[in-house]
Amino acid sequence: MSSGRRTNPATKAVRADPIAIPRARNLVALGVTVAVAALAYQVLVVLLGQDYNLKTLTLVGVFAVATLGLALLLGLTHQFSLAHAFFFALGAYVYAVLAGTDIGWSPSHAALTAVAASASIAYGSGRVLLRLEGFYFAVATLGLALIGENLLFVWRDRTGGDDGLRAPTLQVLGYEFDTPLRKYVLVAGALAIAFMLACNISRSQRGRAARAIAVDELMAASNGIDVVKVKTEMFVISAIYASVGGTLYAVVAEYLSPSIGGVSTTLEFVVAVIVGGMGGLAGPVLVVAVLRWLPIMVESVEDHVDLVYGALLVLLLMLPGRSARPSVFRRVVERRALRRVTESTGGASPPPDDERSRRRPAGGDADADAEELRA
Amino acid sequence: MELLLSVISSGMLNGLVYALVGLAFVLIFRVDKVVNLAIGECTMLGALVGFELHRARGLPLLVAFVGVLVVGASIGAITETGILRQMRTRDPLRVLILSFGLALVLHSVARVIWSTDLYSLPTFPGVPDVIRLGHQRAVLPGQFVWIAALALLVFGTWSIVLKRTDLGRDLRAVSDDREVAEAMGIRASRRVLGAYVTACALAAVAGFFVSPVMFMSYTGGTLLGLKGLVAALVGGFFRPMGAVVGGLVLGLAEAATSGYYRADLKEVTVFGLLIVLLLVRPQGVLPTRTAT
Amino acid sequence: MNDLLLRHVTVRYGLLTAVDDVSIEIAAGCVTSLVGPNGAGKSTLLGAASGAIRPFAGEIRIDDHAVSGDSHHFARAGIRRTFQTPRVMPAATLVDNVMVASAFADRGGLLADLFDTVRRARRERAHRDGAELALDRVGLLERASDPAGSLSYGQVRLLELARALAPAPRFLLLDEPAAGLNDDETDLLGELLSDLATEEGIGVVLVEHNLRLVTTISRVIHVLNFGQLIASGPPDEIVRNPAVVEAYTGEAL
Repeated sequence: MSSGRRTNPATKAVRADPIAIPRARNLVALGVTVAVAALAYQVLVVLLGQDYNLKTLTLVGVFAVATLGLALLLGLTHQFSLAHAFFFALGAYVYAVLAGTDIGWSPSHAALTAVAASASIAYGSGRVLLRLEGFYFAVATLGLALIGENLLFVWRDRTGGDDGLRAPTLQVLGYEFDTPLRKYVLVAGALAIAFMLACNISRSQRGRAARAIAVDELMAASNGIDVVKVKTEMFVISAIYASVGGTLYAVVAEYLSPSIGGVSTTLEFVVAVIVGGMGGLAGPVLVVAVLRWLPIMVESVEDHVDLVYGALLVLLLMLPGRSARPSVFRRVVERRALRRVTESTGGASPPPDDERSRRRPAGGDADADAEELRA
Repeated sequence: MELLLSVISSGMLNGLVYALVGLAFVLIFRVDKVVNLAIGECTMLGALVGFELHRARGLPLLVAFVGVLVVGASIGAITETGILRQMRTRDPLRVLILSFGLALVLHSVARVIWSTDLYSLPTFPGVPDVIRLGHQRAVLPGQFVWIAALALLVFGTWSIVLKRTDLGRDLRAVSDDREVAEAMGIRASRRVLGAYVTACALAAVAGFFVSPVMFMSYTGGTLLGLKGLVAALVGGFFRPMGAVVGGLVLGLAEAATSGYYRADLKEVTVFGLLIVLLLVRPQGVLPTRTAT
Repeated sequence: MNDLLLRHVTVRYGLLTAVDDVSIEIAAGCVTSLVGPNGAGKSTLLGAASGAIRPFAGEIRIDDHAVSGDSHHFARAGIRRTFQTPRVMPAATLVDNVMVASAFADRGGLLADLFDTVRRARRERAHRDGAELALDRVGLLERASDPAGSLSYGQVRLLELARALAPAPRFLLLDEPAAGLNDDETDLLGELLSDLATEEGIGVVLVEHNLRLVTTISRVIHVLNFGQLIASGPPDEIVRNPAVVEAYTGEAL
């Protein structure tokens, strides 16, 4: 038998390795991008004095936290849950109802209870629903989400129904996160921790098991992986992420409406994960950032957000299977860099550069990712 | 007694509508093995386009009906030829998500055209607005007759086509094993296109027929589509009459919850039942055929 | 006892009895083969022995206690199986494919995965080394970083074998490992399997149609027909057994 290690240099070009650990490069790249972008906007905000931009940036962070959860469940383990916004809304409303209305718990207790509630519901429903095959699981989680949305209206004396609900700001040990800057720091910190934990999970054996399950459950099981347990864990983790995101949302926006648990929100998360690259973490975060900023950057888009999501989904899925990770990442980074430059020089934003929007040649990616997406 | 009659009658009426929408899902699922979520939006468009042509533009009902058919059929055709056929990898998960996207697009377009208002058509001619049930105070909307007639026609035709005609035989072949069917000379792609066109047209017509009894806005399609899907799931995807059984079960369950318990919990019951069903017997409530 | 015992295993699919009251003892450290005409129930029996199929009756015993439950329980008990159609991840490298097998080798909990990066990195390293070792054993080490989709069919079968070997199994259940291999590849496979049995004490079980391979390397052969065990014994007895010949050719000797 041969001994010694020789790697074939030709294969270095092959990427999109669903089982392999994500390269550290991605993390560093994300960290740098986020830090630079955040810093840039921070500077702008201080200079221009617009709290509005900071709030939007903070909300981006909130949605990013929630999206990370779905990136683990859908992107990594390929479990098609449509209940993500359900847990998001759960986190938001439980917090607001417990801490804000006449029940009057302390905000930190309310926040912890929200997480606990989501985790338990996720565990209970997960153990039951995860036995279902892909499509049926999706429908069942959709049913769960619709039940949740319905209940929000049924209990309208508590949740305010269509009128919405006020949510109090977060107070921890006497320190209140009430100013936009404090909220920003809170969310930034939460996102950093959330991201780090998500990376740890993704790079762990559990992550490998999840990826194996995503490709072939029977194969995973015959290799010693407790499929139900891993799927349930991922489901609960994703629910916790969504719930924490929801609570953060309540804390930042200070006002809730039932639409945060609706189809549109779910779709935002799903689109972010699919477009951002199944199996990745940085990609979905970036895509959700783009999706959140889009209505603000382009005023007329705000009303037609759904149309944009829909068209985006259709177009992106029509194209042959590929992870959008490299191109989205690249395009957004480049677009942001361009924008920063032009804004600081006071010019109009440049027209989209067709050269850059053209996709990079697939290399080994196309087939690899076709395989990735094939459930 | 009166409550019971009212529950049964509204349950059946809604049930038949769900059955028709469910059949649309079944038609596509059987030949293409995917669930097309744009069907729900087709029902909404059927109602709104019908209103636009008949009420807003004053065209005769028949013309509006044809218009609705055309709109539905076109959506089906465009979906299949313009979008799905262009895809290199066409696995069910992708198509499902894509149909999500499509539904969103239709949804948004409808909002742009018709805004957030509610629309409905008048009861179709030939029947009174309401039918009294015996000496009770319970009433049945006259439109029920039209809906029942449509359901009878559609399901009857489907059943006959499937079992007795060459087309039906071809469809069953494609449904069982597309590659083998193609090897035997059946033009599967034509059949699939036909299925999409028929299904979307059917959904649109169902929406058109139900609009006199249901106020429809641009958001109405989502829920109606979902209930149609539930009906298909309850009845199982592989029996021609499955959607009917599923639809009626669903409609009656919903009406019963609404009548005997609380109206605002009826969706909770519906989706709760769905989840229970998926866990206990995902192949639907009807006995399944043994594998051929 | 070191052996894997299949006791009175019966598998039914509706009215069809695929495996009918079969009892077999599989010894560690040697090669056992299951042969028989198509549809005899060999793969089904293998499935029952690896937990993929739940038997209608009977039990699987290892180390004097019964193994039951889902396939991962069997896998953790030391029983690893390969499939007739290979199931690998084409987009992943060979090493990563093999590392799936040790995905749950240690009892690290969720919290450990979340927070304990140092120990985790060390474990990863250990598993990676183990994977490379397994690849070396089957002769695929030099392609370790290649995507599994670039392998030939024969090499994919070897990859599956490496994956089954990586967690140091006690019993290796192989479903038609020589299918699709040419004569040279088959001979190499035979050598490898013999070595695994004698050098590493693994109980190798083959379901095979290639009788040349089977008779060359097996210590014991069990013959199945219509779900029933019709003969057991060393190769030279089996080939002369009239019942066996009749089962294969349909004619009495």
